[in-house]
Parts: sequence; C-alpha cells; structure tokens
Amino acid sequence: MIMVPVSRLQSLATRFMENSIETRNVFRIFKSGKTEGPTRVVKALDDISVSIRKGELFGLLGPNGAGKTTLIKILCTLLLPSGGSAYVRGHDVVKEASYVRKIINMVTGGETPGYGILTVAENLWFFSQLYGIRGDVAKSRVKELLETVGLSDEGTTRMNRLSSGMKQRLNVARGFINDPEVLFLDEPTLGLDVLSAKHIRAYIRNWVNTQPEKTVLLTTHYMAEADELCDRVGIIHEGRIVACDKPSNSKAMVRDKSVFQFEIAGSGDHERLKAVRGVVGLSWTHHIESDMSTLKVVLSDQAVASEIESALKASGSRIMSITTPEPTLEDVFIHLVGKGLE
Amino acid sequence: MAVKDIARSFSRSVWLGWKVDANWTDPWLFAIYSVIRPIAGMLIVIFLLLVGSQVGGNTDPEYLTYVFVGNVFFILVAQIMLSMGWVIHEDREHYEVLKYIYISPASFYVYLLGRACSTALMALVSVAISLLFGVAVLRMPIDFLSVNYPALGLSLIIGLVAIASFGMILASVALLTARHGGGMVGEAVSGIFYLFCGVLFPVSVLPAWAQVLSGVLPLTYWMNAIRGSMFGVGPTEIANNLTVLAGFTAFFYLVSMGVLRLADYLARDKGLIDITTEH
Amino acid sequence: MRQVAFSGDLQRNLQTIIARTYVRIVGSAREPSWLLWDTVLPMLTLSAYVYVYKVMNAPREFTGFVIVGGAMIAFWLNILWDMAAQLYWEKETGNLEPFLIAPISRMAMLMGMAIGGIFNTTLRALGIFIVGALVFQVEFLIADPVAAALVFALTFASLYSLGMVFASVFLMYGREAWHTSHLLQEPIYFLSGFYFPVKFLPFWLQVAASVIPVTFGLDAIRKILILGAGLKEVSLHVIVLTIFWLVLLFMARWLLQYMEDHGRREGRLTLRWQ
Repeated sequence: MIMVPVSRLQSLATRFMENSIETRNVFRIFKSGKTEGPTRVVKALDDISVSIRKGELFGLLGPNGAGKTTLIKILCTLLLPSGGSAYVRGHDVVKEASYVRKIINMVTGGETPGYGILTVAENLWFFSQLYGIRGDVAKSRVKELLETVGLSDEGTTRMNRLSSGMKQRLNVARGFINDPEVLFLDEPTLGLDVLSAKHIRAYIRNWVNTQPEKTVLLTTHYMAEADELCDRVGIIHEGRIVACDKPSNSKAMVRDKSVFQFEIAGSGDHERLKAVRGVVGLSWTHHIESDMSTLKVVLSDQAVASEIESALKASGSRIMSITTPEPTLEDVFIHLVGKGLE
Repeated sequence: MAVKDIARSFSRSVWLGWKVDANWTDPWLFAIYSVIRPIAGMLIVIFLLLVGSQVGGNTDPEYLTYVFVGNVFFILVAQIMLSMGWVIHEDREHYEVLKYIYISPASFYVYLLGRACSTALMALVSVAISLLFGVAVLRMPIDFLSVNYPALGLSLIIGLVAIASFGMILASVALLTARHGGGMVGEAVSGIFYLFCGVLFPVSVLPAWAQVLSGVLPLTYWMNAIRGSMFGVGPTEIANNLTVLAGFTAFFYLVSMGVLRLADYLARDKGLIDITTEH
Repeated sequence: MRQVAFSGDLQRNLQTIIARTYVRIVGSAREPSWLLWDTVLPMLTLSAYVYVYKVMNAPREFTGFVIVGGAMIAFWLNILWDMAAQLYWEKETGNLEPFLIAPISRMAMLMGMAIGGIFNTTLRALGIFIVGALVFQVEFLIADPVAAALVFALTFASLYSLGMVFASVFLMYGREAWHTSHLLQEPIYFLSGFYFPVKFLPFWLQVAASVIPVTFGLDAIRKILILGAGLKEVSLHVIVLTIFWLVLLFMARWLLQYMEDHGRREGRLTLRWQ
C-alpha cells in the first residue's frame, strides 16, 4: 500500500485549484478514413505538458497546422486525447466532460455558428438557454454583450444579413454569454477589421484583468496579438511546445543573438543562406504588391550579418535597407524552429 | 460562352455530382446501396397490388406489369427531382460553395444541368437493376428481345429533358426558399407526377379535372411512350405520344428557363445566393 | 457586468428544449414554403396509393389504412429528418460545436428539434385526415378516445426514442448515415405496413417488422380509427409499445453517449463534409 502524505495531497489539490488548465503528456494521433485513399497517420500533438494558472491570459502561438486547434478541441471536450491527461479547473476533460462544459466556452475565428433565419438577439438568447441563464438575466446579458461588441443596433437584424465581421463579433459575444470561468479563443480576431480586432482584444484583456478568477487560452498565429495580450506565450511547432514563458522572457532568449532585417527588391533565392555558419534561423516574406521581400535572420554573432549581405549581393539581390529591430516573438520562433511563423 | 467552355463546365458538374453522391462510402457498399434502394421502393408497390388483388378481387396480371414498368421508370423522376430540390441547399448551406460557382464564368444553368445529368446516369443504372430484378425474380412478363429500343431510347432522351426542366424549376424555387426538414422537397414535388401521369394507374381513373392536368403534363405521354416501347405497341401510337411529349417538353423547357432567370434575378436582388436558412 | 445566475440540470435542459423548439417554430413561421412541400404536396403521393386500391376494387377501409399510414409517415419523417438527422445538419453548417461544449443533455437538444417540428407535422397529418374524409370519404370511428390517445402517445414516445437512437449514428457519421437513412426509408414503409396491413406479409417478414415500433403503433391506430376497436383489442399493442418506449429510451441514452465518445476518440464528432 502506498502512503501519500496529506501535505502532498493538499499541495497537489492546491496546485490543481490554482491551475485552470493542466495537461500532462497529451498527444493526439489522427488516421485518415477508408474513403480517403491509403491510410495516413498524423501526430497532431506530441507530449504537450502545460499548466495555465487562474487569472492568466495564456497565448498559444504557432503557424497553421501546428496543433493549436487540436489542443483546444481536447480541452473543450470535443476530442479525446490519444494519450496523456488534461484537466480544466481540476476536472478531467475525458471523464468529467459534463463538469467541464458548465464552466467553459469557446470562440473559433472564421466560423460563425448560429441560425441565419433568427435575429442577432435571438441567436444570443438561444445560446444563453443552453447554459440555463434565466429569463430577465438572459435578456439583459444579451443587451450588454451586444453593446460590448458594437452590435446593439443590429439586435433585430437577421443573422444571414450581417457582414462577416459582424458575424464574427456575434460569435465572440456568444463566447461570453455564460460568463465562463475558462474561455478558449481560437484565432478570435480572424476576419475582423483592424478597429474591431483592437476593440475585441481590449475587451478580452480587460475581462481577465477585472476578473482574476477567469482564464483565457488564446491561440493565434499573429505574434503581435500574442505579444500585446498575453501574460505568457507557449510557442507550438509541429505538435510540440517548444517554449513557454512571458513574452519578455522569451524575447530575452534571442537578446544574445543578433536579429537583422533586410529589405530586398524583388524576390530571390534565400535557401543558400541557411547554410551560412552562424545563421540560427531565417524567415523570408515576399510582398507581392510592392514586389519587395523581407528577410529576417537570427544570427549567433553580429559579424555573420556581413556574410549574409555579401551572399545576397552575390546572388544578384538588391538590398534596399538593413535594420536591427527589437526582438519579437517571431524571432524567438525563428531561433527555436529555424524558420518563420508564416 | 464557347461550346468548349460549356462542355467543360457540364462534364465537371457531372463529375462533381458523381463524387458528392457516391464517394461517401467504399465502392462495394455503394453498389449494394444502388441495388437495394430501387428494389425496396418497387416492393412496396408490388405488395400493395398483391394485397389489393387479394382483398379486391382484381387479379389482372397485365395491371401488375403496367404498374411495375411505371414504377421502375419513375425512379428517374423521383431521383432527379430529389437531387434538384436538394443541390441548392446543400451547395449553399453545407458546402458553402454556391456563391463561388455562381460568380464563376461557368453557366449556372449548365452547372445545374450537369448535376441533374449525374443523377440521371445513376438512376438509369437503378432502372436497369430494377427491370432485371423484376424479370428474374418477380417473373414480370417482359421480353427484352421485343422491346422497341430506338423508341425507348428516344422516349428516355426526351423524357429526361422534360424531367430536367421540372428539376430546374424546382431548383429555381429552392434558390428563393429556406431549407425545411430533410430535403424532401423533391420527393413531395415528384408526387405531382406520381399521381397525375399514369405511373400506377391509367389517368382515366382520375376525376375529370385531374385528367385535364394529366393532359398537359409531358410525363403522362412519356409513361405511355415508355410502356409502348417496352411492350411493342404499334409505331403510330408511340409516335403520337412522342410528338406530344416533345411538344410539351419544349414548352416546359422554355418555362424552366424563364423561371430560372426570374429566380436568378430575385435571388440576387434579395441577397439569397449565400444566405443561410438552417433552423 | 451583472452576475449570471445558473439553473440546475433539469431546468437547464428544459430551457434547451424550449429554446430549440423556438428556433424551429420561428424559422418555419418566417419562411412558410414548408406549407407546400411538407403539407400539401405529400398528399399527392398518398392519393396515388388510394387510387391503386380503388383500381383493385379493395374495400373502403383500405383507403382508410392508406390515409392513416400517410399521416403516420408525417411523424416518421419528422423523427427521421427533423430530429435524427438534425445533428447532421448542425454539423454540416458548423453549429454542432457550440452545442456539444454546452452543459446540456443531447436528448434535450433532440427533443427541442422534434417538438419544434411537431406543429408542421401535425398540420400535415391533419391535412391528410381531412383530405381522407372529404375527398375519399373515409369514415373515422373513434369508439374509444382514451385508447386512441394512449396509443398515439405511446407510439410517438417510442418513435421519438427510436429517433434518438438514429441521431446517435449521425453524431459519428455524416453522409453515410444520411444515405443509410434514405435507404431504410422505403423498407420501413414496406415492413411497418404504412400502406397495407402487415398481416398480408409473409410470416418471416412480419417477424422482421415486429422490431419496428411503428408497426404496432400503426396497426393499433388503424384498428381504433377505422375498425372502431377499443382498449381491450389493442391491449397487446399498448404493452409492446410501452416496452419499446422504455427500452429505446435507455438505448438512446447509452448510444448517444457511446457514439459521442467514439466520435471524440476518432476525431469525427464535429468533422464536416464526411
């Protein structure tokens, strides 16, 4: 018989209670079905262990296909992990899904669930009923949320008449309808204009700041969003979390590295640059409208920059400018993974 | 639009219809499904007749064959109407592709026609299977060697144009209406032809006012032409039915073009091309 | 922001039923083309079968059988397409995720969908009875209203439970389930005796038909409405329907959970366009 000290149990319980979200060695494998050609096996998540405290706005940053949505779906009880365990407010997402559902909500960017034939207010009211919000409270809550997301003038408009941005704002409002303890935001500002996105981000930040019991897990591939909003950022790449810390601490990882940004006319061949000694990682973006390219390199030593410059000139590239920007989370990503986020 | 473009749009739509209707399972299961479905539908009517003859005393075997042939070829009507009543809702609300197809240079009419054609091809296989089943298992007195195949072929071609025209009218209406229930709109509308076009009984059984309606529906003559072809009825009678069928088909074809045009205008005016109506 | 007060599980599920019913009813009211598709036009196919019996010189009560069968088809279709397949529609339109993460019973959600469709369905059934009475001169004799009410209630209860069993399949599968439902539609019409009494089927087919609750419901309703039977004559049907209802209800509960877990495991729960 194994004896566990009460103090240890208490400490575990306390940790659990302080942690809103906890995953231990979670992995998820997908196999393609029988009508989809030869069976493919994809490991969407690999050994994910992360703890998110109460009152934290945690960001999960990674490129498309990194596994962000898969992790959210597991935590939201939509998907079972292939292995490992995950808890939301101490409840196992597999065995205690019904408890988890009472305290969470989710907003997925780019999707706009709802009934086109109902009005904006009716749609929100409908979702409020799924959480058992009573009568007048539901009504006033709908009104408050519509004001918050800037849709108070559209309450009686049918949802199928809204613009995409408005539908997404309605989607965000739906996510707050039950005032969840844990809110999952999967790219919530996708499809929103700059002002609306800014407004929504401010609302999310304020919501967490003013309610220390609330927790938000936000996934995004916009590093500026993660940098601006999040208390801590987990960087996910190919199903694995490669870094998890405050943005400032993560950026400190590359402080001893040199980050250079080259603006180059036209497109060009940058593959050879990866072989240059001292290049930790690089990202290359070609801007079609201006026919300019931006090359960002993370170097182990400042001196390597001149080699990069020479290599670019030798390949016929015309360098328009060279700058040394402040490190960003993308630089952290480049440093860890070797290439950019997009 | 160039003929080449039309042909390409058409063939791609047929391909798409096949993919959407067939790639939900493996080929063997789809083959079984394609065999069972028409046979199950046929058995209801066959048993209805057997029960009717047992309790009513009318045991005319020719009537059984009459109903059998009508019901088998009606598969074409039912399937195409079901498909055309559903394709708009499915493309618009489930796959959310309707707006992209609509704004492409491909003719929307050709696209719908392609989808109807795809269904027709699959339905023809069901018809063939049902005929074989009827002859082999139910011992229907149909001699495949004495079928007037040229007349049958012509009846089928003109008939399919007629059915596709009605399907087009239905799809046009679907563009303007919400999706209710399980997409049984096509099934409901094909009830018109089931009752008034001599599928299960001669139209003379119907009240006088209904017979007038039967007289203006092309599928009434189609049924007559099909039966005539299957049972080697005189060429004059078939020719008469085919002529009237062709005339009414041409009329309803023009009507369908007009309805589609009107629906197209109204849908764009009211912003219905990418609407969601799911409830 | 005002604190949100939450209700207990039962209340929350009742609210879900009401809310989902509201969506269905309001949707139907705002776009009433269903009056044509779901109410008027289906009577035409039914009328075709009535005329077949007339051609066969079948006794008048067979017209009544077809009418009753047609009315029951309305409820059967409500269950199959307005309830069971609804999870498929929700999935295809991207609405399923918010439902599945909400703390509600799946049965409550399905119940709301079914109840919401009942108005349309009842209108269709009533329309069929009216056509039957006025156009085809069918005489409906309800000698025992209590028996009629009891049999109706039990038939619907067992049908709705069966519908929930089907709904569980739609949780996991997409088009496969949809096509299979289409495939089963006609065999069920055939076996359950929607257009003719089951007693005319060969014995082995009658045995097969006896696993479908609507077979008993339809037979009992016909006996009461057309042949003037009372509770005594349909007592066996009442017992069987009660058993069906309870067994299917438990099966539905278990299957909904099982299929949901299966879907979560396979990653197909909210997978669109399967």
